[in-house]
Amino acid sequence: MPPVITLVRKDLLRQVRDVKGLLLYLIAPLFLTTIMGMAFGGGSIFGEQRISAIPLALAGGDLPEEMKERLAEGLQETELFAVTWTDTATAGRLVERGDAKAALILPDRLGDRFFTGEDVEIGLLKDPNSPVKAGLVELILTDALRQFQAGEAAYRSLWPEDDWSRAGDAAVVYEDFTSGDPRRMLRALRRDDGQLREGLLDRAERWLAFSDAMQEPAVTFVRHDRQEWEESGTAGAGSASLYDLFLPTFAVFFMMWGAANIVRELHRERENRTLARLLVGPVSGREITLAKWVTALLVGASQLLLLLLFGWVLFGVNIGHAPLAVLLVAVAAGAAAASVYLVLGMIVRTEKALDALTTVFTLVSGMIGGNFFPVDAMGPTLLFFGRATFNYWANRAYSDLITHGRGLEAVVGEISVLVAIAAIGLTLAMLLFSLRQRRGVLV
Amino acid sequence: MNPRFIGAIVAMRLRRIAADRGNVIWLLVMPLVFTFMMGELMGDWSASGAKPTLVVYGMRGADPAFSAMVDRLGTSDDFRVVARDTTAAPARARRLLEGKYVSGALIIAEDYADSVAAGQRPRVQFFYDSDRRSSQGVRRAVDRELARLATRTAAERLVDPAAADSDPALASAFDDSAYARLYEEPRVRLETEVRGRSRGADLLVLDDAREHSAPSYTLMFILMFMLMSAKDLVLERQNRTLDRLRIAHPSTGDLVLGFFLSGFVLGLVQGGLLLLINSLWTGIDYGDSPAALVLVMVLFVAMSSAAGLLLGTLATSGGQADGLGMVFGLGLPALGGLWWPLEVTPEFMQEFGRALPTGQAITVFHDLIGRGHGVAEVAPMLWGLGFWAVLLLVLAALRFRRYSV
Repeated sequence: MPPVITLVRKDLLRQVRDVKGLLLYLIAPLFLTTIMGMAFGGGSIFGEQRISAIPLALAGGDLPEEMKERLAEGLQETELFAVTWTDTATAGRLVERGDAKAALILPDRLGDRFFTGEDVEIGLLKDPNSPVKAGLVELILTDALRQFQAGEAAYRSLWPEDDWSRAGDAAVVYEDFTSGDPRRMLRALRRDDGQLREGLLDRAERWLAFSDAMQEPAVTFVRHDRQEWEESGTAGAGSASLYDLFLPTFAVFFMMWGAANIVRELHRERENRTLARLLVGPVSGREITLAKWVTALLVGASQLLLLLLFGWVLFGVNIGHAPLAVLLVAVAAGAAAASVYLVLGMIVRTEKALDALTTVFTLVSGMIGGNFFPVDAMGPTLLFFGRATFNYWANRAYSDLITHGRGLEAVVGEISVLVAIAAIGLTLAMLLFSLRQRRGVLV
Repeated sequence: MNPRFIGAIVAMRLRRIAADRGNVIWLLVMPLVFTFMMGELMGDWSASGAKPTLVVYGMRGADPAFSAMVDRLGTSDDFRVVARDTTAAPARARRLLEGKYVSGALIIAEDYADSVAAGQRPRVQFFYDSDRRSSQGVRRAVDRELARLATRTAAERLVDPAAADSDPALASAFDDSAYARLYEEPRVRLETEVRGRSRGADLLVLDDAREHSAPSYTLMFILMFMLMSAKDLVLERQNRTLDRLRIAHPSTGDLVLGFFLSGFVLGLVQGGLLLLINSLWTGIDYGDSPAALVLVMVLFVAMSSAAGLLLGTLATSGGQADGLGMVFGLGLPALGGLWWPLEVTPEFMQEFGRALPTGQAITVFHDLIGRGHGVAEVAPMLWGLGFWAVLLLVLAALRFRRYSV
């Protein structure tokens, strides 16, 4: 049996026999990915998870009870809101305590104000600790009001004489109508000499013409959201669930720790003098380095694939429609990680120094390489630095395969970069090993 | 109780930690780096330091109303507008968005002005990325201006000076200045008020992501350091140095207190320094209640120190302590809402998160910073933290008795 295979077998056996260590390197990422699955993913165990309904308080106004109920029901039916009708002071307290993320305060005489041309100020109270949910409420309300505001501004710019505040008798008629006694309005119309009736009819005609004009947009606006065109471009094979985004990047992150752990073995063997004994035998330094590299590759790639499998089985993570590509990226990422950490292992002299170096290196690489946020969200500056890390290319490849549902052809570039890093890193590690062996540092 | 013995253990352990300069990385450097990086990223995923850009293609074909709209967009403080006379294919706009070169792209049909004049419906395409905060801001501004333009264009079709006298459904003119005024100052409007802590005339809202990331990563790295230090206790047992300490005939309580207090003192120093640096560096104001701030830090550090001690008594090897330390050091912050706001998770995860010490501590910080709460308001969370601290310390003490030879 070639020495490299013997050494790999020995290293793998050591890993497998360290059941506690092995479990920990698998349990930690499994535990964290389970948390993320519970928080964002859903899947076969936890069902579909969505952002919980936004507690919204409604207050003020003097709307009839039936209208209040309808408004609350309408909002509840969207499943976005959990609505509570209350008074203004209580609504304020609910928001201050965080029991309601937002409160909508309607003004008194809302209907009258609305139809008689008076100013209508709708209050929105926001919870300061709810940037997401309270922000969403504000966004929805602003969007809903915008069209009305534009329409009213346009109408009054066309027919300023229809302004209710200047409408004279027509306004009186409306007040009669809204007073709860329509007979007053009918009597006013009966007394009218025809001018009032004519004015009301003109107004009604203008409203109808204006409504028709607004129904037919004068300009066709087509909005294209990046998420939609990327999804449609992949025929819906991709996925945008937060868990789908984070599972692969976390799997890569923990693979990095796993690779560092294998390289740490080299220092333990040096400190235990077993490395010196190995070098006495018919084994070259190059073979020892290669064996450690193969072990780290096998452990890292297996760890990565196992986590993806776990996410797929338990949380229904979409692992793309190119299983071969997922496998190749895992192997290439494992190879690159093995090379990079071997070089780090060769730079330092002790296990403790390696611990400190790999910890800082892994955390910083994880941050700038896109392990803690989607690589698609990286800005140009971060992208510039991120590209210098090997994990960026692994994250990029999994983003293409899993988030965007692309195929093997889309990740050939990323795999090539990972393979290049692996080859250069392995060569460098072998050279460093020989150098240090010649200087007697390793024994 | 032997105060001198306890003090000696505390001093010994603190000296040991201070002697290893590498610890500074875990104690101070990494939390600050995480605070900065995650604050930047959570604030704007596309953070690049530059002002976001909206590019407008096809200005050559625009009519005066559209040009005026682009000019208005150009006055925004939040993004800059680059107007190009030439048109562009949608693929180009998509590439610009995908490469993060722009935050939004508008493409006007080449025959826009002609179509408007002919009463036809011209086409305008807008490209954006809903996953980027800068792009969302551009979209809001563009949506607002597009609604204004579309409504005006549609309304102008009802203008016919010749027929207005005889047809009440037609207008003699469209008053542009009135439209601009009424659109800018609408009669029906939304007045938003953040029910937060008052800072003079302003209101503080927790919208600076560092107001979340700074306390979050301070708490996370305090907990992580304590849990990762659990290995030291395991090594003390394995190297028999723990047995040597017994030469001084300490009680189990003395040993437990010594180990607990060393972590406690270190955590307070670490937490205090991190809060101070973050405050000086980013100007974060931790609220109006120093007492609540001190209490939450004291209780969280006590809980973390007790957790580290318990882990040290449970683990049978250094590797096991490291592994479990990492599992809990990362898991508890994730579950408690230190990584992402709890409000984006399902209801049961929010309740679970707030039952954990990490969730309780960050809720207190949010209430101090955002709401300006004091001790009375955050008391339930402080009691929760106190409960965890006592529970973990009692369990650690019970486990420690096993090592009393």
